Amino acid sequence: MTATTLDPPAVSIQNVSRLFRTRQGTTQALKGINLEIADGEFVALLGPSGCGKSTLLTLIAGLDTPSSGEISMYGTKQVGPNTAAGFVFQKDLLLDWRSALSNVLIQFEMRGIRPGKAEVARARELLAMVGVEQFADAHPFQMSGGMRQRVAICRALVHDPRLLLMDEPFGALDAITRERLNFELAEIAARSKKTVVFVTHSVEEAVFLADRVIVLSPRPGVIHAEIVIPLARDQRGWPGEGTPLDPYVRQARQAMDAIHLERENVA
Amino acid sequence: MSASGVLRTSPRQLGRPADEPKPERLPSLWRERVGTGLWGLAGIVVLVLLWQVIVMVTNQPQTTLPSPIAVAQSIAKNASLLWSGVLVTAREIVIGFALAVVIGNLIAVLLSLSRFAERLLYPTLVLLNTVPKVAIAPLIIIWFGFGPTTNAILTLVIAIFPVIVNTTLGLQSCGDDYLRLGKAMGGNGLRLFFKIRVPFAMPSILAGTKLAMTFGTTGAVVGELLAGQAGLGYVSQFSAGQLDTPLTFAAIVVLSALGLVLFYLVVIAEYFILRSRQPTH
Repeated sequence: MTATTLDPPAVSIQNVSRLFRTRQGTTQALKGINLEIADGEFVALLGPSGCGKSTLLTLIAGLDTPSSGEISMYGTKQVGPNTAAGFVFQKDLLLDWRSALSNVLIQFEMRGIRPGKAEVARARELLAMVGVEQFADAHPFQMSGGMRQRVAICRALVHDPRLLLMDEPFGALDAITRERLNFELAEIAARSKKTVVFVTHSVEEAVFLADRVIVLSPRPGVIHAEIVIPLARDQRGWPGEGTPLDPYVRQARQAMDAIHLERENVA
Repeated sequence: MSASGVLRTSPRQLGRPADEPKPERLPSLWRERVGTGLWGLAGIVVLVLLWQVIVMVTNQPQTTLPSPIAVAQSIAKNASLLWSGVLVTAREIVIGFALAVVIGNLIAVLLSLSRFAERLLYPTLVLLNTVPKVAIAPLIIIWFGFGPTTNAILTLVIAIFPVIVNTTLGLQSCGDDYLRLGKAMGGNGLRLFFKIRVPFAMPSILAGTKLAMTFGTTGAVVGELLAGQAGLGYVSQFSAGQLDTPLTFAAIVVLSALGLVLFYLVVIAEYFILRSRQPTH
């Protein structure tokens, strides 16, 4: 993915730090992060737990404020919740009392838009795209985890955001469902040309999905490595021994191992 | 009356793990919530039969323990008296209950709007809830005199606490991550409140409402016993004074039936409000 130099980047993170004060003292969750994400780019934030990847996503989402530094979205400085983006969290956070369709439509309702024909049609189209159209009137408790997360993805896309933020969205799913959803997401991202920031601790997932993998190391959270994956979508299969993505998986894994070694030496 | 409304925790369950799903048939909430009452009815029939047998065996005089048949006869004989009592008592209960639900929910909402107010006032409310409210009946009589107003206010005072406590708990039951999601979608305070927090609180709100109805019935009757000039509590009081025990029993039976009907109206309302949700067990 290339962006012309004239366009402001989708996300620009400049020298961002985030400190958390706890009873035990101050924890530096993120330190001096600099990152630019181009429009249409798929970036994975990869790292062990506690590396601040979710904190960084929360900052991009505008649900938290950096202790220092600045984040801009398409050239505009970020203040308050970034309502122009779409979110998917690890928990699907569907509302039990609403049908799948109605759970998607809440995106409009929260914005003060009463869903009309156009909105409902859009929501149904998305549900069909992820293959859950027959569940449109079902309630969350009647759906499997994978179905629920598909509905959550529809909810994040229904207002057609340019930016999609995903915080370990498939982390709670079983391996098979997870892999299938990864394929679906790759296709959705490619077709809709959305900018995606995707947090994960799975190396395969990150390499399979992303144009660029940012590896973060913990305490303080800093960018440890950056792996660019120039392969086109149709040249990728699920990573494994001897597949085109294998070298990148190894690279990412080495970076992760180095982080673990560093931590053990410190400890 | 020391029972408190703090009986309910969040009934929410996490999604169950499942493979590829089939649309599951909704378990019949109607049967679960309302239909079980039929078994209760069967139990009452058994109890009445037992009562008849005890009266026949022990040969009690009517003034001590009238038989169910004598009570039924008394109900038939005093039908119009009892019916006018029903109208008076039902009116007191419904007015007091409705006020308790409206004012109690308003107070709970105000408490939930300000964390400060909640911290300051909620413990006091819980403490007040443990006061045996029947004990303040004489005060209410001093302030509002004898009559239906006093009885409705007693109903209100007794019924309002479970409403406040349950609604407050319910409004707290919404997880922060849901509110975060709502904010991320651009939701302002009002929309977050009505589209996320209130629906989350609904099971708890309804539990409080049911308690309010049960407690409220007691409130009206206590008022009538102490200071009534009409109503079923009054009928039971004066008939006992005249040793017309069958009528006392008759008043109690009719009162129980009234309480049951009012309670089931709330249960039916609950069924319609919650029917699209996951059964809680």
